[in-house]
Amino acid sequence: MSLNSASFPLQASELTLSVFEQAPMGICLLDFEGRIQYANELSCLIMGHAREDLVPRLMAEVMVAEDLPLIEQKVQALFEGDASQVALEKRYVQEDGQIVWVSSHIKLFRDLTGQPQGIICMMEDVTEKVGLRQRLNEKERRYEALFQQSGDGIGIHDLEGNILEVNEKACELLEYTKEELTQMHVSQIHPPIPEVIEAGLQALEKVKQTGKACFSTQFLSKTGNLIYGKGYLTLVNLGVEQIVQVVFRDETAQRMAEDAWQQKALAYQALFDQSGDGIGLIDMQGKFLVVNQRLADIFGYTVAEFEQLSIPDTHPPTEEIIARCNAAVVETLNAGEAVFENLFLTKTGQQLQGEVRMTLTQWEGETVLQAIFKDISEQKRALAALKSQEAQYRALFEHAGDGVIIRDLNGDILSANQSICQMLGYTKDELNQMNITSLIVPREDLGQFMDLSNEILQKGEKNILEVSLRRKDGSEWVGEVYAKILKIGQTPIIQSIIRDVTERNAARKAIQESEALLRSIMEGADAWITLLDLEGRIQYANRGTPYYPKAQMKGQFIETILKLKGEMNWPDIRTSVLANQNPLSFESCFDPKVSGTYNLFSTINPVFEEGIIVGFTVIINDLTELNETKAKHQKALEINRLTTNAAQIGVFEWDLAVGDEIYWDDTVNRIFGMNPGVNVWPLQAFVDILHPEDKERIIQQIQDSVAAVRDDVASYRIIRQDDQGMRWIWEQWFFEKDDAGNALNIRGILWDQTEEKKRQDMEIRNAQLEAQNQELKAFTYIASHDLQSPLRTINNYVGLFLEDYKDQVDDQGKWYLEVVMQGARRMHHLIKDLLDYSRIGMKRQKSSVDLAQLMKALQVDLAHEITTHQARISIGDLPTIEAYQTELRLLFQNLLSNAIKFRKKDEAPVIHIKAHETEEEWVFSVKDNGIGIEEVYYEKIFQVFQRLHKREDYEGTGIGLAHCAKVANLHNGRIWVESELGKGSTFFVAIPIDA
Amino acid sequence: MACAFRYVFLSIMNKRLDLVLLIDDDEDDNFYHKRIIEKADIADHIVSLASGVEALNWLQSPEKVPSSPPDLIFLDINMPRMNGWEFLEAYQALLPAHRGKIIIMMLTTSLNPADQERAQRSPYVAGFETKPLTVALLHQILTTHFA
Repeated sequence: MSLNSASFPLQASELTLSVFEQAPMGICLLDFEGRIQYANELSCLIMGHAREDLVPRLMAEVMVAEDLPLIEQKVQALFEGDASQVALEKRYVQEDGQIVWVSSHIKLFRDLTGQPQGIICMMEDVTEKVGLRQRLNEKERRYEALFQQSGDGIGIHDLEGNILEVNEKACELLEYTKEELTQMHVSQIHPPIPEVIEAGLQALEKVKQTGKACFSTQFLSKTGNLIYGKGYLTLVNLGVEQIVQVVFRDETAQRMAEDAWQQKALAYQALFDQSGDGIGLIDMQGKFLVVNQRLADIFGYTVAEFEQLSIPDTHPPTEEIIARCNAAVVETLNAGEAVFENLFLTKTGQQLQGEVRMTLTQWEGETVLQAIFKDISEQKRALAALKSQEAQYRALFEHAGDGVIIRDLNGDILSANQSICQMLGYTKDELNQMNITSLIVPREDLGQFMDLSNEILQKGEKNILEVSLRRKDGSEWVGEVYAKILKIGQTPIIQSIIRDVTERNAARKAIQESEALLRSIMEGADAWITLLDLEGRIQYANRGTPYYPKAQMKGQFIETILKLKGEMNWPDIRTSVLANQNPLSFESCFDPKVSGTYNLFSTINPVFEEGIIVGFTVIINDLTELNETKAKHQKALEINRLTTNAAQIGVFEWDLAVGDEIYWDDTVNRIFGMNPGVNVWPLQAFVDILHPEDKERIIQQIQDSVAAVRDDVASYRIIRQDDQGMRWIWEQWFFEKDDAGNALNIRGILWDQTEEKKRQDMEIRNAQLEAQNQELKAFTYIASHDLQSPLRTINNYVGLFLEDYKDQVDDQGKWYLEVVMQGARRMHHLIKDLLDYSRIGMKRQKSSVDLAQLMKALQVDLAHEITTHQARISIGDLPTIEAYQTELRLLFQNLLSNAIKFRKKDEAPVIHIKAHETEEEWVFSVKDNGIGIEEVYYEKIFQVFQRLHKREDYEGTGIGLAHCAKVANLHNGRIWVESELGKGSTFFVAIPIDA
Repeated sequence: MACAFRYVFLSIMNKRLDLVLLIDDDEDDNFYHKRIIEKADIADHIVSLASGVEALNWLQSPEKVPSSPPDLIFLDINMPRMNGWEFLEAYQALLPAHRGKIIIMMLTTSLNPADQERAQRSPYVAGFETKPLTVALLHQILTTHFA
């Protein structure tokens, strides 16, 4: 070990050497060529080579090649005197190939005269530090990516709300660029709604205090879109500075989904109300909370009465029956569902056999029992009869409704019962002498037919067939023969049970026909309607799609013709519908690969048969034209409504040859409130339930339709036969014609559109409200601008006055002053009238108003005008009605004072006030003999600020009649005028009786 | 002094009008506006009429004084029976000789933007001003439309 070498002229003392050796950092000495002349122990360790290996090697050989240019450059700086010392990080390759990061300080070492003698390099292993730093960088990059690519909008703002940083999602949501947003204040990206601003301020305050806050808010995008969602605020400390990080989750879609869900709930409600089964919700004490009409009907109560009952009230009071109920409740609570039969008691004390399916459901936040009730009394009776069949076989054989014949294989009759004798018109003895073939209507293949029949029977199989049979009198009927072989001893005999199915076949034919009608309606529908089995295979489709002809649709899986959009898939949809038993709507298209493919909105409905889902219908609507989200929702609602109602469409048929009888199905009976089971009604029954106001019109329309053999539609009201309730009916009918074009019969469908009408009424009301709002806006406009007009007059004329008559006031001056005062007075009246007008109906309560009394009071109020103009006022009988007293008084005050004001110049006013009652409303009239109004102005006069006369002729603000119209409106009533110019006017006010 | 000089200067610059027609149901406003036009001294004749119907009749009357069509019409919007817009519709149907080369200013208190827009669309409406008329406003109108 020596520091001495040819290149190093300096000598080291022992002390220096030992200090070098034990120094806590790596030290090497290099000559100017970069050859290592000395390396202390630690430096050897750091560089990872044995000392013998290093001295005298070129330092560059143990370094990573990429680092060399940088080092050369730095060392160059040392030589040129630009730096006295350089620091750098470089990599060494250890003997075993491993790479270490080293932080080095490099300096020239000089002799006492200051002459450079070589290079000294001090080093430290920083591999771990570098690794740590790299990982830190990595983390930062990942965080940045997370920030930028987050599905949530993220922003950072200071405590004042100035936006400092936003991510891409936030830009996308708010439709601003990042540069724009970082110039903005948070208040600029919220809608200027006080609640929203307040919530934002509160959240900011909270995050300052607690470090975290979450709030529901709305954002306003650059283009004015509202975005609903939740903001999560976090306070972040950055050294001394504090900033707020906002994570925003867009919940607009979720809100829409909630809205849709609410609509669905409404649809469910409708289903509940219209269900054919009785449905009731029962709390855990056994009390009925809600029941549908059907359940109340079955038990003979009203819905309101039923909702006062508990479970025991609906059963005969025996312990066994109540125990059965309790067991079912316990089973429902444990298993989620119970189906049980029990004996029930109606209001009138009649006993019913019922089957109840009980499940758990949620109602207003509580877990309650839902019971679906089916009346199975009939079924039970039939079953009981069946059970006693064995015992009563003989009696049954004789007297059962079915005919029974026992014969041998040759067809010779051995025995016949009473029923078959009646059916065939033979006596028992006669039949016992006959062969069965002689009872069958002759057919060519009779022999073969009998052979075949016997063959089947002998194999031990049952044989059911329909046969045309002939009575003794020669008339024919259709029997369904149920034959089976009985082995008595060695001789096989055949027992045939024969049922008259002539009627049943006719009924079946009727069903087939009404099915054909429905099918023809479906074929004509705009929408694609498909019927699926449980696996999703198409059983029926009303139309072909653009890519699948109708003929090929049957048997295809629905997913092959209809592609789903978005995340949904068929198995999920099917599972969901099966589980929820509710319709489900989704977006789809026919073929996503074909551009311009249809934009479809589909609804899948479960098809029930006896309470079990046996398939689905899928109704597909083309929304290509309707791209607006709102329109889609509207359409979706419409579809939901239609599908909910689908089961409620009644079918009727009117055979024109019969004329005065009409056939309709039980759905029609239900709608009309008539006895189910009776399907043929005299035409008069239909005429009788027609609403008196619609009767004439509808009869006329039907007569016209029949006369012209023209298909038609009608909407009318009926008074239900059972509960006398008024329902709106929508009806559509078609003619069936013979080849010559003569009408044979009329077939049609009808449904109860009362709910729809109600909704339409609501929509009309909403439109009215909207119009009123518009008027109010116009009013605000006028109030803030046109009201300045009279004031301006004052100003103008006061100006004139000062200009012209500053020092003297003569007559002219007095006139100006008069004008000033008139202007001021007008202003006063205007403002007063307008305020009255705008206050109509605010926070008012209806009360009982005696109109006779009111008219007396008005005459006192208007006494001055009445006496001045010698007005004669006569008043007929007036009622007392429920109304807004003050408003109604203003209305009649306006009408009365108008009647006096618009009098003829040469004739004293004569006014007559009277009232008459129609079925729905009171109609009041105020008749005068005044100047009258031209017809073109009948409507205009009721608009605010519409005047027909110059102020100089008739004083007024143009508000009075608008005021009256508003009061009439407030009562859901109407106001109108009938008049003849120069003869007088009659103003009518109609107020609904129940309003 | 400066003001008076300005008026004189403008009067020399501008063509003097033969006839100005005021159509307004508000007699007080008609009177006041007549006074202002007189004061501005820009027209030889000023006629004020209280309704659109009167104005239409007068425009077509062979005996009217002066016989030439008006150079400038001030038309109010809010008038009973026939409002300013309805007047314009009827006015379009008049013979050109009765209409002449006329600038119609809608003179009204209505600041309704819808009215303003409508005035801009009408080929007969050259400008839209708010009541009341002032001398300065009259001179401005003359400079804009008649200079």
